[in-house]
Amino acid sequence: MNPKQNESNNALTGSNMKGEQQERIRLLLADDEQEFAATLLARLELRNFEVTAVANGRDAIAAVEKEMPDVMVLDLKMPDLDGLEVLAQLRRKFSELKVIILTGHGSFEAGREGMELGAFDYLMKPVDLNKLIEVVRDAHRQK
Amino acid sequence: MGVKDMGEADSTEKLCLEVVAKVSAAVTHEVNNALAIMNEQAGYLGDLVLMVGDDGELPAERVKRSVSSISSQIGRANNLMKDLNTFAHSGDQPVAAIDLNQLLLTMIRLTGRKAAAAEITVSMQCIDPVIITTKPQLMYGLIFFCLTTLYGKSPAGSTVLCQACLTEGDQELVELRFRLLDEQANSYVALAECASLTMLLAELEAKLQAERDSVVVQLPLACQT
Repeated sequence: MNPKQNESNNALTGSNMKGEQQERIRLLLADDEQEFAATLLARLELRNFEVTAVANGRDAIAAVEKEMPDVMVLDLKMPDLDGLEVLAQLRRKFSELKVIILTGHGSFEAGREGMELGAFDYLMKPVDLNKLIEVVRDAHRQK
Repeated sequence: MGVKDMGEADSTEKLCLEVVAKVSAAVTHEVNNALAIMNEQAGYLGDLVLMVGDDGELPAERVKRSVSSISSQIGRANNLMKDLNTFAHSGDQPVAAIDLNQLLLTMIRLTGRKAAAAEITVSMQCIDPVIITTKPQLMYGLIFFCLTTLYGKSPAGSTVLCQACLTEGDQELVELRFRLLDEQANSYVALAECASLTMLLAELEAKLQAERDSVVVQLPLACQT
């Protein structure tokens, strides 16, 4: 493999310049837009993240109760439970859980409420993947 | 125009603004979601190129799937924007001849996300043209409040069938029919108690009625200008 190809693969797989793997972060992704979730999952797994995806609020809560992820990425507008309600319930039970809100819903009020409920950060869709990864790594470092 | 008239006009304007704001919020949210999928798919194609390098061969099936997804989301966003544009132009003329079934269909599409969030299936029973002369912006508002109130009051998993049609036995009246395949009593009460809807019904000279399995809004074929 030529050096340039190696560099590209390192950038994708999450390896540092020496090719050593960065710690594998376990991510839970909760989003009802299944095509979005599936593609984001694939891209994150290429970058050495271990990703579980769920499509609604109740499954998100069940997934955390089954196995606490390192970081959670949560959409706000989902059927059944609203994302803010999911956040409130999870933060009550698991105060150490780091949750990043990622949504297409642009309400200032929802953002404010999310941060007050203890979200680590609030990002708008469409999101730059490098930015999302930077925030996820920050959240994981602060665990 | 008297003081009372100015007050009523002001309230009606506020209602129209409310509908514009809520519809815009829902549509832009959905367009954001479509853009997000396109963004991820484009990123994924970039990832594949990085992985295979300059001399490598891209996996054709995966590329095809991404391309198909991007096309589909462009179509989704485009349809939403067309409907939003149609709705935005409803204020161009205070009174106009419109096809009531087309207005109904447009507003069903514009409120599709709200229906999905409430797990309600909404569809048109018939789309034959029903042409009336009315106040288009207020009519969109009336349909908006009818639909969103029904979404809020119908149990999850319900189906609402909608259509506009001529009233049997009266050539001067038309109806907006919302046929509820589940319990409808609470829905009629909810619509009757919706203050915004009551105001719009009065402005459009319309009446709300309950039938066995439907809620009906009866409207004149031509409103008084």
